[in-house]
Parts: sequence; structure tokens; C-alpha cells
Amino acid sequence: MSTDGTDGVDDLELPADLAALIGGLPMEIEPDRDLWEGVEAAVAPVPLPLRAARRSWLPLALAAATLIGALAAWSVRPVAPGDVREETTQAAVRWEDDVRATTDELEAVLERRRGELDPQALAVIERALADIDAAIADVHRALAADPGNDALAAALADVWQRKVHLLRNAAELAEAG
Amino acid sequence: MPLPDRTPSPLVDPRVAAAVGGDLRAFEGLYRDHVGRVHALALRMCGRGAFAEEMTQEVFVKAWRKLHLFDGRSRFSTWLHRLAVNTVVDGMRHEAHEPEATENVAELPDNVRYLRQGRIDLERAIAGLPTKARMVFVLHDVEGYKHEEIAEMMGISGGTARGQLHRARGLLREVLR
Repeated sequence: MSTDGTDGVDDLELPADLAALIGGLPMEIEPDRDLWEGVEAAVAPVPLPLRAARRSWLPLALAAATLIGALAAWSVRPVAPGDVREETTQAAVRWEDDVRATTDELEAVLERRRGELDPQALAVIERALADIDAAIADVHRALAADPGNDALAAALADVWQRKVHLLRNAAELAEAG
Repeated sequence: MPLPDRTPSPLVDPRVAAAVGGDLRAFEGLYRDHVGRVHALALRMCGRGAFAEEMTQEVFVKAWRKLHLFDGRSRFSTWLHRLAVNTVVDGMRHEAHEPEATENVAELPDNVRYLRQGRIDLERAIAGLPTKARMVFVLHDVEGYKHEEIAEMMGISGGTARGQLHRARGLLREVLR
């Protein structure tokens, strides 16, 4: 038995006056300012410097180099038992076909417009894509050997997202001329 | 590698799949639809506007990064709401600038005391509650979570959760009397 006088508080009904006030609370309150800009800045792993890109391929090359570095870091990351996540492997890989359809479309755009890209930028992009594809293949092999490893499944989804970001930026850069 | 069944779930917003594939515009659409709900939760739990905005942004940043782990077996809004609660609880746990909890009604800040002048404003009264009592009250009486869920999310015992709810209701009734 509790000594704090709260026994049975679960069984107590919410006082009517309080219940009425709570019922009148709005379920949605818009923030005073638009927070999207901050969210977007935090989640976009590769900036979209279209204006700058028209002048130079450097921003994208830097972004791709960063991506390669991130992949290198990921590839040596130990997948310890403690890193295994609660979510299921199926949840992490179920989107793969959808994502592959997206990357196929973007690769087709890039292929059509590759002549409009700076050759050095194109080389950086192609190296990054090769690294990503190699990483995807590696994770597939690892998952085949350890299909219940949720950390690997999450890593697979992460690498696919990185591929989409790189391709989307490359395609936009090519279309921007 | 054999892939799992990808029969589309009617509960899955197509923008979720697009966002998993790296479509930031699709994710912005999800943000626009849900930011009010997330911000309302954060504002009531935090009791302070600026920190609530910070937490709201953090929720969506986390959502983007964890989106590939959403398996579509529940509504996206349900998944996001749980993520928001966990993010805010974690943020509150690690924030040092939360003022020390007010211990009794006599010490409640002006924004609560003025309720005695007949200006009923439950939002302000909630904001003036001691931190833990406020969080438990919001989660239980406003958001509808059970004590066991709240205890797990906040890392406290069920008895403590019940005690804090009892305390919050008592303080609110006192100022609303």
C-alpha cells in the first residue's frame, strides 16, 4: 500500500471541472514561426546549391566527397550486439523496391544529361555511386548471412537514402546546366 | 536476398514511402500536416515556447532519420506521436535550463496565480506546474497514455507516475477553485 495517499488514483475519475477544461484544449497549436527551415537544414545530408552549381561543380563534389567519407566510416563501424535495434529487419528492407524504382528514374535522368555535367564533377559522382553500390552489395551479403540483424537492415536503408540524395542532387545539377 | 511481402498498407501515407526514398518535399508535406499536433504536445510538456520549438524541430529531424524503420502497421501519426513523446522526455531529462520545480500552489508563478482572478486559462496553469507533475498530467489526462506507459517513457515507477498525477490534479484544482 502506498504511503503517499495516492492509492487508487487510477480509479479516480478526472474531476468534472478539470475534464471540461481539458476537453476544450486544442489538439493542435501551430508554432509562432515556421520551423521547417531548421528541420530541412538538419536533415538534408547534401546541400542543393543550384545557383552555385551553375557556376561551379565544386559544391556537389565536396558533398560527394563527404558522402564517401561517411560511407568509409560506416563500413568500418562495428555492428556490436548492443547496436541491434528493436525494429524488425522486414521493416527496414521493405522499402527497397520502392527506393530502387526512384534511383532507377534518377539514374536515367543522369544518364540522359551526363554530357551537361563538368567531367570532374561527373567523375566524383560516379565514384561515389560505385562506393554506394558496393556498400549495398556488402550489406546484402551480410544480411544473407545474418538475416535477423536489425542494425544491418537499418544500414541498408540508410545507404539507399544516401544514394537517392546523391542522385537527386546530381540530376538537378545536370538539369540546371 | 528474398524480400518481404510489400503489400501496401492502407494505413501508409504515400508520402511516407516517398520520404523514405529521400523525397524531402514529401516529408515537408508530412511536417506541415503534423507540426501543430507535435508542437502542442511539446509546448504542454515543456511549458516553455522556445524549448518546445526546439523539441518540435528535433522530433521531425529524428522522424526523418528513423523513417525507414516505420513499418506501416500503425498510423504514421501514432508513430510520430510516440516518437515526439520520447524525444521531449529525453530532451527534458537532459536540459539544464528548466527552472526548479515549484513545490506548492503558494509558490506558483504569476501565470498560474492569476487564474484565481477568474481568468481561466488551463494552458498557463499546466505550464506553471512542477516539471514531472506537468509531464505526467499532459501524458495521462490530455494525451491519454496509461500510467505504465508513462512510467516506461519517463523512466520512473508507476507509483511515482500516479503520485505526480495526483499532485498535478490537486494543484490545478487548487488554482481553479
